[in-house]
Amino acid sequence: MLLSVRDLHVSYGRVPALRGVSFDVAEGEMVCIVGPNGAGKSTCMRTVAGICTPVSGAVNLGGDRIEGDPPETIARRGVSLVPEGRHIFAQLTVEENLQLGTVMRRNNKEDWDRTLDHFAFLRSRLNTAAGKLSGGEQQQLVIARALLTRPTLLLLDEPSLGLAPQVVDLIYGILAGLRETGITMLVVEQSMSRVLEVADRVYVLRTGEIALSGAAHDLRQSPELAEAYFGFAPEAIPQ
Amino acid sequence: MTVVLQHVIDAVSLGSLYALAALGVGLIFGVMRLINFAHGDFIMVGAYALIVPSTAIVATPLIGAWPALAMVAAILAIVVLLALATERIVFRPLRNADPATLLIGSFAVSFFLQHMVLIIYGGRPKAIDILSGLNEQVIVLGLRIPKLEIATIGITFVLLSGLALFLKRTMFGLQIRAAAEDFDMARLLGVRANTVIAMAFAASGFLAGVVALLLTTQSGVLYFGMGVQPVLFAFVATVIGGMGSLPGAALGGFLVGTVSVALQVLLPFELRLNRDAFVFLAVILVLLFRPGGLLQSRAAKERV
Repeated sequence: MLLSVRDLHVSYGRVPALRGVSFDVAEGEMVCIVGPNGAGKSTCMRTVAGICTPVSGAVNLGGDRIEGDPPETIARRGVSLVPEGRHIFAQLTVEENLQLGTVMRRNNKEDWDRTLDHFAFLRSRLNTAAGKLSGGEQQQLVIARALLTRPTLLLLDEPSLGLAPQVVDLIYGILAGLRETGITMLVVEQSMSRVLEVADRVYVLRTGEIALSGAAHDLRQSPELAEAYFGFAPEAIPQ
Repeated sequence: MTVVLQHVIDAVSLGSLYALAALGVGLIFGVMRLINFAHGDFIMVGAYALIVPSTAIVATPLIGAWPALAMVAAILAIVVLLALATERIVFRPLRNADPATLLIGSFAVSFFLQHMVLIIYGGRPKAIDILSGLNEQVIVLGLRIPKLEIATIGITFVLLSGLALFLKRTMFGLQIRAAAEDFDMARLLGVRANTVIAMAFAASGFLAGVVALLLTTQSGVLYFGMGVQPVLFAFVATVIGGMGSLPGAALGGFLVGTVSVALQVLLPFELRLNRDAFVFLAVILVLLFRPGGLLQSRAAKERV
């Protein structure tokens, strides 16, 4: 198992955000964590990436415990997080943003060329301030930047958040393409419909606990999924 | 005309000194969101390192008696090491603390350094003469310009250009700029927090060392509170330039220097003693119209 999270407890002050969360991501898999707002999805990602320190529990990456390690150490072990809200460096140019993806490895002209071939629009925008790109372009820039780190595990936190529907299609097209290349991905989404089409397995997180897990194709039509997500069966909604 | 030019040179020279101090403050604020009031004490320690540690009334030059190049190198090295030591001992353990705690930490360092100097060197101001050749004047086009003013302006120009090139053209510089904009994201890309912050402190210490040498050459006096006023003006410069913007800090430094010299010239004689009150009045006016400073960093708007 590439990533194995066991009995993770994370709190913000006295408020618990995760209560005994466990999940696995195997090499080459695309796993998705879905759940309503405030379920603790981003906290999962931030804890795996080292921004949050757990109260207890274990995060194993390739067999080594990484929980509590600083983010740069975890990044240098091959975990790349594309955080919620994109987090481009708005005042730096597109090229400088991409260069920051190569901090950990120099002499990577091949990766550089491949990335610019894949995200061709970036080539003509290299000298543009990243803050001037559209939301969809910014999201592609952060994915391109994360890929330049040559990650063994790519974490994507709500990649469709705040984007127009056509742009969401584009982003999920890119993710589907990445999945074909065999890159291991853990994706967090609030909206289930798109991610269920491309993910291998799904975990539903609700109020800091895993409410349901299973293969994406099994859960796609299952009423259990909506029940786990909302906390009650959809037919119970009064008309 | 000659008189005006004379005042312009005075203003640029004083502004240069404030710009160097403001950049020292701005570099640390950029990566740590720490307003380092101990920066003034880095300047003060750099100046005191020139003399033999003693409470005697008359100062005996130590490093100040060395050949100019060795003296400059030694003072810069001492202040850089001091800045790195405060980062390692005080600010690194406080890194994740809230800004108020960091600020109090910087006051603690400031008072600690001042009192160490009081214990080791005593509280009386001491006279020292270094690089005295720079206090001579040269006459250019009828202007009598102290060599020190030319040196201050020249050194500032070289350091500003060097710093700009370092930040713009090197991978380390890029990492510092990225960390200043979004530290967490920079770390998620593998940027080492310890290295970036230590580098910012080293650069800040270097600038404090330069200011220490220029100030001491100019005034010829060592005093344990000598760093307070320059760093206060430097802080004001970073605020009116726009916190977090290094070009803003430099611009703010030049502006504060220019306003100070202009007020010194234009105010009625009896008000000149209270010049600083008018400088701060001007600062308040700037902030009323541009609360984020002159070159406020434009936060990226959420785009869809």
